[in-house]
Amino acid sequence: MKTKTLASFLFSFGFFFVIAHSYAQNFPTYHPLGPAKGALYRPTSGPANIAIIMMHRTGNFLSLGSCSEMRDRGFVVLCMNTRFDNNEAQVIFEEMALDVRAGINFLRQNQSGLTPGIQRVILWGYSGGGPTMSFYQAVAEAGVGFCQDPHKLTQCESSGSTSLVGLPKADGIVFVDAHPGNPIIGMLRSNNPAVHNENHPENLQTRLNPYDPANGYNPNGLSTYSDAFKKRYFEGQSDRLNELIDEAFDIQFHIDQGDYPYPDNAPFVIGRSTASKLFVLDTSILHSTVKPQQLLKNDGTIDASHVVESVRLPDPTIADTDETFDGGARLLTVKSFLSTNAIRSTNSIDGIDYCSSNNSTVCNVRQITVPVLFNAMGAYYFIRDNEIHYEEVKSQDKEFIVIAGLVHGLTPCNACPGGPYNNSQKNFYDHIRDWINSPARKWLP
Amino acid sequence: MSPTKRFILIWVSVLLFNLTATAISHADFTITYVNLGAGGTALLRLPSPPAGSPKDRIGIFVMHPSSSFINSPICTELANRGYVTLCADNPFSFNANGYKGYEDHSAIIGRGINCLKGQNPPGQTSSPCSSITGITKIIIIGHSMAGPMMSFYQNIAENGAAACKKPERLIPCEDTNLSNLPAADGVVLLDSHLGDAVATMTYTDPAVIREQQPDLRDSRVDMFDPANGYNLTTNSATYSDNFRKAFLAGQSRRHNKLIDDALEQLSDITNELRNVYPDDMPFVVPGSNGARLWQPDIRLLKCTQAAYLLLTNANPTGEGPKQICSVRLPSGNQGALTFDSVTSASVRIWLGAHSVRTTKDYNQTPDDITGIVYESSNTSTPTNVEGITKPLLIVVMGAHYFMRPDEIILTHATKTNDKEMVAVEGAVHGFTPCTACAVAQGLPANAYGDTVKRLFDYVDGWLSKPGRF
Repeated sequence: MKTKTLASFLFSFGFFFVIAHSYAQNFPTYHPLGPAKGALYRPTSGPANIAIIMMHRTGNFLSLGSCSEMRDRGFVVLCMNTRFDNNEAQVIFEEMALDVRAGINFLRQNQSGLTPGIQRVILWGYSGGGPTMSFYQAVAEAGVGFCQDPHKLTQCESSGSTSLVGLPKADGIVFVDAHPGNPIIGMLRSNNPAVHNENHPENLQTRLNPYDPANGYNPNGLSTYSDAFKKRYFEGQSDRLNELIDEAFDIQFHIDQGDYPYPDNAPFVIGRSTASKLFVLDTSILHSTVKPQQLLKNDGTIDASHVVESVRLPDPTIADTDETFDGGARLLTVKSFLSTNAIRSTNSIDGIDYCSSNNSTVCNVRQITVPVLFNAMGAYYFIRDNEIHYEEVKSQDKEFIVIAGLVHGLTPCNACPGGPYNNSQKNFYDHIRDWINSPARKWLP
Repeated sequence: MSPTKRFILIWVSVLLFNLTATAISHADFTITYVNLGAGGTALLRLPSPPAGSPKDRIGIFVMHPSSSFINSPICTELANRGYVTLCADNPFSFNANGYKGYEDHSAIIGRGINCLKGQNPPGQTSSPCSSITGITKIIIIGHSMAGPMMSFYQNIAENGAAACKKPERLIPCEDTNLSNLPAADGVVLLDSHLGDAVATMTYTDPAVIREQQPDLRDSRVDMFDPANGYNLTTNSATYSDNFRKAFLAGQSRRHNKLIDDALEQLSDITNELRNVYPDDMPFVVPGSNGARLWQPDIRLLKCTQAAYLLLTNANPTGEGPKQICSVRLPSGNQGALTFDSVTSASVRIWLGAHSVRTTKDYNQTPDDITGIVYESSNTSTPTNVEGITKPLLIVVMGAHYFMRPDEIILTHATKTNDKEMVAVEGAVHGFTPCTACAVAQGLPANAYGDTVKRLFDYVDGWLSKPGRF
């Protein structure tokens, strides 16, 4: 009896100690933000007056490694999931700006009581977060007229619960290996133009088949395609996507006319539409910057004297992915296709009508005047795209840098030539810290 | 120790315990974000201060297969009552058509259980999980569609993946993530579904004549046709016996046909006879989310067959046992006529998560639903509870429609010696009181009182019953 009683007291005491201990750890806190969600990372010590918001489109960013990396460099970081996390078929791209707004208000208004003194909010556009954040800031700076341009395939709302009128501006944007736009990288440059019948994506036209050795495919390594094939291929990708857009608008028309089976939306299945990036097979495509640009090297120095080349390796296994349903097809709706996966073009590389979609980093940055830093990963394929973003941005305070040897997941590519790249990740985060804290930004008090 | 000193020690202990308990009843808890890895995110709620009772040894894990439960009231209510709770979301939260079965959720559940046991998620050297000590008993709680998911998990954790690869299943589970799952020590099902597949089957609209032209409807079996008894204004219905029989026969026929089509496609894929895709095929099913007959016609599935304890406002700890009848209001869903009714899936997802066979005996009556071949789907709660040996509590909400379904689950729980079902008078599916139901019953709007408190007080009592955990 006595032993049990004593044990009970000790247990209770020990448990209390455990709770106290858990307080001492620097784990993030969770915050519902309307239909979005946020994990708030706060620095271990010292007040922070600069906060960063990280968010994607559908990806789970609540535990993104960059959240703790930037927290550990002294910033408040709000890592968010949008209202569309885990579900591409649900995405209405324009509505995600409401979630960015919720994050900005959460931080600036100290809604949690945990972020007093926040004076600057920086958006972090990583991967598919690039279009998300650039769209937000473009609308915040230029107004809803920008996203209601009738030239765009879909328009934002200016009234009702999804109105984008009056978005508060962020103070700056850090782009991290940003997409040029989900329709561009996820659909235009990924679809297999050899498909000539959407109901039978297994039947491929030989003249456009990227996986035909006669066209240059090498199943064991680097493929090499002729200029003639590349021209055909890139134009073919545009043709296929343009036809899909026409088909979607035709369905939308019938929905609006009330003579479609559903009054609101429709399924939209696209086979062989996610994997066939010719530049993954032939790395000479989208290989380098056009002009000499900054390269943040593994030793921490910056070399701006050369054109920067990607050190990425080819991946011929995308041929296997392309033919599958699980990896190669998309199961969308007409609305999510048009809003998030469609853009007009004449060819998929440099014939893109960037402003035909709201999901277009290139079109969006033309409206952005706040300081921007573009980071491209040296072992991936967004180097030229981010150079274009850098060229197109309206801001006078802009920087573009390529991080040597990092892949899109921000880890070093050990197999890539020119290594090692073991310090590159730390260099990358340190460089962003220094860019934000630079007196040139005038963001620190 | 002298008798006097012993008396004083016991008295002080009792006093301290009561003070602690009093504090917990209005308690606070700390909330900590947990990255479970593999796409799982969770909130850990630690009572602060701890209960100072055997409750401190009980950890509770809560998750739903497709809804966000990270802020579920289950976790807040039970943390308020002194339990350590972990409420999680997973990669299929907000994507009900994305998983091929609960094997896709099991790894996250296992990580949650291990977290409550103080183990960091794989690959993490530091997490709030390692701060948890002293938890020796784990309870998993499944609300709504989480009922089938948690029963599947526990069945596999207790019996291994062979339990979901039985030949009577339409499609076996994928066992990649089903080894070494930690079993829970008890299972609580709150207003549980009979299974994802049963839910889809009972939503399958027999009025759809051709899958490619879902707006062409067979009025003879159209449950939304006023001529058949549906009220478009109130979303209520009074169907004739003949219509009910025709509708259910059509529902069974169409769902079985969809299964046959999917199985044929799967066979072609497996035998490499179909070359559109080598791995899976799109399977888009219109009219498969909303045409549930008993929702507008509240005479169906109204009552249990046997008697159970009813937690009432007058007797919060329960009165009866008595037959339990629902006080719910009609809830016909005309969304069944829109794109919302479409299940956009693949052949494997359709067969794994949305298909269950029915026989010619398929029927819905005031106190029964029959003719479902539960063992044809791995998502069936009745089938999965058959493998559970641990204590099982089922609580059904008195203003919803799972009286008989949850009674069926109870009757299938044949391996556990510790099982119980109770009902909360007047509670809707989300636990709160149905004031409109009360008014419809001729009672004051507040007649059902604080159903949330009654529910979780009862769960608390069940969990903390001496000798159980």
